[in-house]
Amino acid sequence: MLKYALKRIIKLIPVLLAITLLVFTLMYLTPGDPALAKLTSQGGTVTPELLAEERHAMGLDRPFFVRYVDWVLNILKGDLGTSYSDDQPVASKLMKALSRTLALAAASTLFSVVIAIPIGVYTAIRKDSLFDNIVRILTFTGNAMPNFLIALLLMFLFCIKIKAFPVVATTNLKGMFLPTLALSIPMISKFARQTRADVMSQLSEEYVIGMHARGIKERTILFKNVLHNALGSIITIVSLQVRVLIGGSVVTEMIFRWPGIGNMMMTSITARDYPVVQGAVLILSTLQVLVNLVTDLSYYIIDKRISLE
Amino acid sequence: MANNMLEINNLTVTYGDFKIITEVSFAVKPGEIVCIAGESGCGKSTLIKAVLGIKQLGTFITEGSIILEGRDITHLGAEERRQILGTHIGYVPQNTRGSFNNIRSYEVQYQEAMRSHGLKFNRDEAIKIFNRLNFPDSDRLLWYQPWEMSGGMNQRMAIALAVLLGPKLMLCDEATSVLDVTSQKEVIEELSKLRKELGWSILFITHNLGVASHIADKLGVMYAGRMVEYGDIRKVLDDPIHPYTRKLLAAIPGKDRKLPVGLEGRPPLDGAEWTGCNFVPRCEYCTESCKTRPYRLEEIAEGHFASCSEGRTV
Repeated sequence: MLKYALKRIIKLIPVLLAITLLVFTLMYLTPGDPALAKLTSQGGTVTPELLAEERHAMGLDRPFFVRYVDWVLNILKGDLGTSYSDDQPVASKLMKALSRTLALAAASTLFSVVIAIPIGVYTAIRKDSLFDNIVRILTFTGNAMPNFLIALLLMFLFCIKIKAFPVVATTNLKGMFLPTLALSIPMISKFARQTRADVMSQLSEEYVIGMHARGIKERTILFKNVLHNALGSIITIVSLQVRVLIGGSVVTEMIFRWPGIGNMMMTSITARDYPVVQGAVLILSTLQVLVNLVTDLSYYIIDKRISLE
Repeated sequence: MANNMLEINNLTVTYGDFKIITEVSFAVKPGEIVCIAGESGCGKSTLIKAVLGIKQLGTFITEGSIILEGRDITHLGAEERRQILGTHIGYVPQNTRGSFNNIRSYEVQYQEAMRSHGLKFNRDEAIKIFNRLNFPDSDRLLWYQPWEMSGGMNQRMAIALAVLLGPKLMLCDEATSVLDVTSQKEVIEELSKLRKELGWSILFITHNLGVASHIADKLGVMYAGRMVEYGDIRKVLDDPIHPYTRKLLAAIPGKDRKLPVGLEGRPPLDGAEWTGCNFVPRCEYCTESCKTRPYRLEEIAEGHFASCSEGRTV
């Protein structure tokens, strides 16, 4: 398994190279001039001479390939460049934002899984009970509501009515609560539905009868066997959600003013801050590929029939 | 009849609204192998399901009783039933993937089974049993997962686990039907051996009369939910009484490459209410009285019961 993981990581290199080229080309082709944007944001009149000088200072007058190779070589040294907007190193800026996004992603995923799986299992074994029906209505609602609406409703309830939280999230545990909840509600709904469906299909498998016929405790059948076999598709849906979350939940981050990577990407794109956008896309792509790898490995851990090659 | 391992008394079993088994009675003595044979849908598997009494199977006993070693287990509570399943009643299903979770190792599944009954799992003890049953690669078997094994090996692993759990009664539901002849032979020889060594009583459901003839002491023939003939295996096979049993025996394929003589028509639908004998539509010996005569299993010869002896030439 380790060998396989290493092989996959090595295979990552050409993928990342392709991504760098794609990102760089796209940013190059995007209309708008970062030098002009920078000068405008600083105020004052922008003369053609000043613009040319600024473009030269920013290295924008060099040919496409020279700029690209320069950028890639710098990445290998761990240097993602400096931000056009505040002259800060991109790497440290991104890491700070990324850590906040990852904290939010980890907290909401963990919270959703811990809540949703027991609910899913319980509704599967108590199919069509009152509890199952209530959960069904709640999960449909949670699934159907757009993210921004959930965020706004939570804000209205917790910040304006109850006044338990500040409207602008602080970057501490308390501040994390509402964005986490806002991201978790649709996830809990999805995970619980998925768990219920998979557990129900597993319960109709013949080995479950075989285990009952051996007098194995219900708990053992349910949590060590049925859930184990159902985990494959639960992992699929969880990893899909994690991939979305890692990209930064732009809407949620913006509503709660959570300074994560989604928020940063939005501002950088508007400001034509190429180094930040390029760096962010590169890091996020790497993370996406790593999540894929972890997902594939966990499939294998659950079910050895799945070939790794 | 207190010294019977299992007693089925006047059992009627429904599945939803359908009556599958009607007034079936017989007993399995300690150390005895009783085979129940019949066409698909005659209720033989339902009989085993009724004895197991697992809620998820959906069988419902409306009349009669099931007595295991003198204890009435017809309507046991879920926890009481769980405690006797595995340790008092063993089970080998038809589906060779029906005993174990396909993607977890035998070892953890053996452990779970033992622990559920408060027993300690001992690797060496398991390996000793594998050796006793001549399993190949016995030292490493526990590490495998069921999907890595053949169907026959899976059945044998289920039997070996039963040896560890120590039931006195084994229920085998077409346990050899989907196996190739070699595996079939191995499984049957194992069961016979364990019956001898451990005194197992076995209720063996099969549609294969050849298998029954090899392993059984008694044979019961079921037709459309009713036991139509029951007795010592040799008597039933050599001197069948009920017209259905005779047809069934005639339908066994021979070596002459000819298609066996099938049975004309189909059994009545599950749950259909019948007055008189329900074999009437397919019976060539039936008389007017058969259509009204109530069902009753009578002792025609010593230890040989049948519900009808029309057309029998002695």
